[in-house]
Amino acid sequence: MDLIVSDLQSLFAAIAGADGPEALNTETRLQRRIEHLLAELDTLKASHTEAVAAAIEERERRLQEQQEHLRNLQAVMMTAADGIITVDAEGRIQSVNEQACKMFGYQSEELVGRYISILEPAMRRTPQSLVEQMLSPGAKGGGPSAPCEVEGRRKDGTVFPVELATSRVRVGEREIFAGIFRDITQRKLLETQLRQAQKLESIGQLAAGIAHEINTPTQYIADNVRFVQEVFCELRPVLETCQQLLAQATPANVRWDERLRDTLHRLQECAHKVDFDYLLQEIPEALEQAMEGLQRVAEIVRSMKEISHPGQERQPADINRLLEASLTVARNEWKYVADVEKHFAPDLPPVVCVPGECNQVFLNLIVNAAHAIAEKNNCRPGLKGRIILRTCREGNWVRVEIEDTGIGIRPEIQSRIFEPFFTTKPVGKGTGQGLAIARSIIVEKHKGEITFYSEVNKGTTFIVRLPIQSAQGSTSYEQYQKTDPVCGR
Amino acid sequence: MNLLCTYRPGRPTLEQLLRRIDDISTLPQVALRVMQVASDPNSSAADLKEVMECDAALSARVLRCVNSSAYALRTKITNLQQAIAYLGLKQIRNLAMTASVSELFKKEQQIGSYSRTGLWKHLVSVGICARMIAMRRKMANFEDAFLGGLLHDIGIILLDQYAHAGFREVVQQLRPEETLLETERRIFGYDHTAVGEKVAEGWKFPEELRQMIRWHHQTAACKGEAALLVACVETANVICTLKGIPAMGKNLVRFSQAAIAILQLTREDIAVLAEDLDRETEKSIALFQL
Repeated sequence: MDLIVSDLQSLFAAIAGADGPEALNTETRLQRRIEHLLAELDTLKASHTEAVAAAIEERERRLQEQQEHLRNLQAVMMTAADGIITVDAEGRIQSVNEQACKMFGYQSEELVGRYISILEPAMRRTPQSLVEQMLSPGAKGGGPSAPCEVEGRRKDGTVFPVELATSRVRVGEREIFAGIFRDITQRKLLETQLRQAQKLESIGQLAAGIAHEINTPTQYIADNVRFVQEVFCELRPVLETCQQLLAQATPANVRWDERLRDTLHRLQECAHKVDFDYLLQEIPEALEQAMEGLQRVAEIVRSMKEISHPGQERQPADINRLLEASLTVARNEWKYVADVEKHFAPDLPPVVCVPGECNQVFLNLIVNAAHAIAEKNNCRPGLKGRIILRTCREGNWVRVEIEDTGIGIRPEIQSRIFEPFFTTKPVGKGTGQGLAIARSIIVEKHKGEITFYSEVNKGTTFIVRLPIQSAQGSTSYEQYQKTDPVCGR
Repeated sequence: MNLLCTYRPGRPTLEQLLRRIDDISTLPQVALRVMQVASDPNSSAADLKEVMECDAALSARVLRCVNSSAYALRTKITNLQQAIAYLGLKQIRNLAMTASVSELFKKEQQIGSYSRTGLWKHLVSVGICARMIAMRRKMANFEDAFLGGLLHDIGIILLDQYAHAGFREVVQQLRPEETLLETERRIFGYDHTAVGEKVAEGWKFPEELRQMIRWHHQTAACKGEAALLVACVETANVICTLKGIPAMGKNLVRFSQAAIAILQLTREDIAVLAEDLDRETEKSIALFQL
């Protein structure tokens, strides 16, 4: 531009300096030059306008790209699976994402601007505090701190475990803290479950040991009781004759010997004192009952051994016997609330299964049945329900029914009962694992089926069907018997 | 139909010549990339910058030109990004091409009235003059006119470098009554416009640039949109030759009536252009440096 102006100035200078016939020619040329330079100016102006427009367009495009990038980042942050909360250096919440809102039960407007401390319970049970963790400097160099477990407080006041990792972010001159929150309620629950399972497992092993210890003395008590029973039978005629003797002996007819008479008299007194007749009658009964009790002990011990046996071997098993064992072990749960009816098919073929696992399933179902009845008869102790066990063969399947007259399962939760952690029992009573495990054992491990039908306040029937063929499908039980049992797995 | 293909030392056929040019990387790779990026409507300043940054010497040279008095920029330009922002893709492309092409002229060669530095001076002058004409005709693509002027005689330098013996003969046989093209055709069987156009095609130069190279002695033969640009180059070529900046020696040139008609130039216009050219070339002195 400057150059063109200076051009023009020199032109005007030339015009002023020209004269004569030369002047005419010069004037036309100067006219031309002015036109030329104006045209050049126009072209330059147009091209500049164009260039400026292009530059603006470019800048706008870049701005749009940046905005898009920002939107993407925001979307990622907002929809992240973990809760993300940022606070300023004083601990005031700057931003929260959807997951964090959901986790703590607030709307984001309710949180932004508030102090982070509203997310912490007043009384905490963990060594680390959410607020301290959030505002602690974290690792040097601004990297994220190692995640630690703290407690969070929802809007409704409930406290829940959170895993929190924080990082310090420098934005320009300011410093903000970003925290990534993960609700670890489920994980904690699982950890508890695992601990419980491990405890149960060790108790099972202990029980197997105890059962063995009890077995030995029970054995010789039973032997001795049986011996006493036998000898008493043999002793009985002696005692009975003695009884007759005492009855017949009167002072009149034992006159012949003074000493004998005295002895008889003493014997009569003794017999009277101990109630000889009664003893003769009661001792056999007492022994009989002792034997019954011992048999019960032996049975319990055997069932415990069977159930707690850690063996995971697949083997042919008598389902009726497994049910009996489960009933015995669960006796304490049902004996006051229900009578048990057993309708076992006598000709049930053995089923290739893992007996320990099947036992666990039956045990669960029996205990559930007992609980259902107890819940229904809650207010009327002494009222007894019924648990009915049925077994039968259905083609290549064995069908087991466990029916109770309990409270039943409400239709709206029927679809959920096999879900892990789903429980209707109060906290601490049920883990919500029993039926989930039962389903996994029957359906996944044994390729069987587990179904139920239920009517509220009438009762529930669980039906377990197990294939008689082994779970592998190819080896039938008959083939299994022919082959080496170890290979049958 | 040249069945009697007699052996002519130093006079390769056009195909042979093109193969030789193709074998040796005549122009630096970066120059060809710059051309591609600058002619692609989807390219951005960032693309051009990325390409040019590969060649530090080239970038330095371009920046030196940008900061020369020709552009009279108020601020000192220190990086390519800034340069592109100030001057636009096309001007930077032209500067980059000028810098690249100048490499071909570095090694001085003098044959009679022909010298490589002379040819170089001619090319830059024609570029400047063609741009000037285009601007004064209010053509928006005046920067393309510069590039056409700069490269219009690319065929000559290629003949010089790749068919030297034949080229030497051409220079020696130049006569005032014969045009350069006629002399070339007499000796080689083809002329430098044909060589230039074929090479430009091989280098994937844009269509209008190829047209300017092909028809810069014959605007009338050019059909289509490029005709205006071709006319600028042809006219600029004649103006420069008459002003004593010829491609080589003294040879016969005439104003092309077709070109002057397309551009609607009068005698006065041409006189003014010829007069103003000196000042323009003076401003762009940096471009002439080898």
